[in-house]
Amino acid sequence: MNDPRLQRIEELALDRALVGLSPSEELELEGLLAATGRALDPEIELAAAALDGALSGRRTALPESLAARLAASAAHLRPPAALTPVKRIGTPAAAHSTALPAWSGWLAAAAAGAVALFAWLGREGAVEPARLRAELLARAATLERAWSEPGPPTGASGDVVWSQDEQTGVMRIAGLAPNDPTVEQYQLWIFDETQEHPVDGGVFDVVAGEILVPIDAKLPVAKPTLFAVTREKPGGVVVSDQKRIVLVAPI
Amino acid sequence: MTHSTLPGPSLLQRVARGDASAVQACLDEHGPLVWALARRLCPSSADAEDVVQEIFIALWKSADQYDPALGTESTWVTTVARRKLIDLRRRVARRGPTSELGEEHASAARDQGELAAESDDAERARKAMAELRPEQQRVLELAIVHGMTYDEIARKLALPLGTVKTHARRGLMRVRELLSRGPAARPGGAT
Repeated sequence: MNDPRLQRIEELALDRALVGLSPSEELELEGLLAATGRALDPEIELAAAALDGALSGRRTALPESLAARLAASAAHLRPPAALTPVKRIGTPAAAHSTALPAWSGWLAAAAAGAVALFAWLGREGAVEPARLRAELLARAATLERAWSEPGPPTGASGDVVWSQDEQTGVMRIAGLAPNDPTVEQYQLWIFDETQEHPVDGGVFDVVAGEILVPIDAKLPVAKPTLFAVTREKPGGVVVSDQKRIVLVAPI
Repeated sequence: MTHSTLPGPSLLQRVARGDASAVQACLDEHGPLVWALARRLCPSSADAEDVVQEIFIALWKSADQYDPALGTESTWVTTVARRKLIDLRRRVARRGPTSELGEEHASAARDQGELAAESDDAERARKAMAELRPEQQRVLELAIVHGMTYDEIARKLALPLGTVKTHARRGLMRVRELLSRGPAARPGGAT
């Protein structure tokens, strides 16, 4: 292994399987994989799982109350096979893809599952963002927070509307600088107190004027604490370095 | 662990196809494994219950991605569970001093004697572990069974952090190589 980048990828993959990675290490791994065109070796994580099975202690049955809750929650889920693609509406970028090409085979399931989550949770497909925003605002539990600029003011404004119950929302943004999608794109992040990394809320572009962007949370959000918009490379990133935050909306 | 060797779809494949009975069967089959992993690494029963729910939701959502040709269901379930549990422990660690409960739970579980996993996966992994150097075995056990970070292991064993990382990485890489040479020519082995 002459390329030191490949050596580092292997180190990070091993650490990831054993003890997990910090956000900066995740970002480093993402960058190395993108730069080298390599994918993570799925057998590393499998080996850790096999060792775990070998070293584990006695198994005991799930508590009855927990098993009942799990069965009940499963009853509300629809199988992935029954999913249909959710139409993207408004201004979100059409070609949204993660920048981590590493997940291969069935180890990609977590990411794939997250992508499918929109439909899994039984959400409707094409709804005009203006109508969706109005419907959400009519509900008492919907959050509405104004955007603010963490850096020097540029005149950008608007708000974010979010329904925790329905795990959906709409961003209203005005005055944000138009972007060239071949150079960079905007990406929404939802900070969740219960998760190590902010949840990807979707990639979008700004042409001009005021825009309404439906929020496309890639994972369930349990306790949102902050919405933030960053500038990222085309297609967005899996984990942002958060160096180019342009808008924030604390909860 | 007979499901993945039976003809026809595996449990997770049945879940993916919307077979409601497979959900309960999946809970019966893999619930004890996931619960044992969660209790071992979570500081409280409440945390364990929360993370078990997260794990099963992740499993059901990704059920259509499971490919029996690439590994057993139990290995797949363990992989998904470990990812969630590692995330949880990192979140807990950021909130305050790391609890030793995980290690206590692990020790208690192991003291009960009987090792749970009797699949080929476990047997082959156990043999692979036995081929490692003692210091590699110790570091891997602390990381995997007790969920300790490299820093915590370094403190516990009074070793330099770099040495701990080297033992852990070389040890796991060696296990990966040994498992890849197995009779099923895949690390998950056959159940």
